Amino acid sequence: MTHSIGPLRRLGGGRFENLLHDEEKELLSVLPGLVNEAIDMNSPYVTRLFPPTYPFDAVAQTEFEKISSDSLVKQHRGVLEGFCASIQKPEITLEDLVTWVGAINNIRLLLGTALDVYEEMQRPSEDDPRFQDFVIFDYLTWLQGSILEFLSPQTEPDTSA
Amino acid sequence: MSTGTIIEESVSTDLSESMDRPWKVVLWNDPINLISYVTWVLQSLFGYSTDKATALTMEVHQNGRAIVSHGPREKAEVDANRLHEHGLWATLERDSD
Repeated sequence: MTHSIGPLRRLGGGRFENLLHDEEKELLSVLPGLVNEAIDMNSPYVTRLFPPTYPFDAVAQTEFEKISSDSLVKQHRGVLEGFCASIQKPEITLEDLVTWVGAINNIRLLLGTALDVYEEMQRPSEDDPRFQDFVIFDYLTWLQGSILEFLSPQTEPDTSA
Repeated sequence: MSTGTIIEESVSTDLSESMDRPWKVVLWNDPINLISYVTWVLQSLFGYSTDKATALTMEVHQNGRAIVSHGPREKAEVDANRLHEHGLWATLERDSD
């Protein structure tokens, strides 16, 4: 897929112009639904979204889940919902960007787990049935990294006009 | 002083020390989260400097894990939960030092 050279342009005052192409916005509007469906189905691919806090203490883990799992589901769904609500907006805020980074991370965790991604992994060849999913995963990696440059104080790019 | 009292005092002291012992929040490496994202989360959640957050992230990346926070159990659980909310993989361990 083709994507924008940069996803954003800084406008000042904590505002950013959304430079994503329509094709990108369309894709990004669909992906959060896949994560929500996977959560609903308790898919094994959502394990990275709900890691154990006490992996070697089943009793403590059960007790901790009782008090934390609902809020964790709510948090994950919340950033996905916020992402969908703002992806089409021509101008977004810093708060939107934080939501975007969280939502993109949730999608990458789901997709990366499904694709069994490992460090320094190479994209498979075009005849591999997973090829398109890897293209999307790599795109999300680029997008998240690009947005983080706008959020990190020491590396924020100055693209203001 | 009865023997029973001595045992009770000993158990009580051990329990008290155990309850007071801090907990460590351990952040684990994973192949999906970006280094830049992990660094940003540590800065955002814990207010760490860029240098400290980067050093902890690289420790996770190179050694597989790093202690990113510690304190009483309740605080450690809150910290781990906040990391989970941001998609990072954190566990708790009782401090053995």
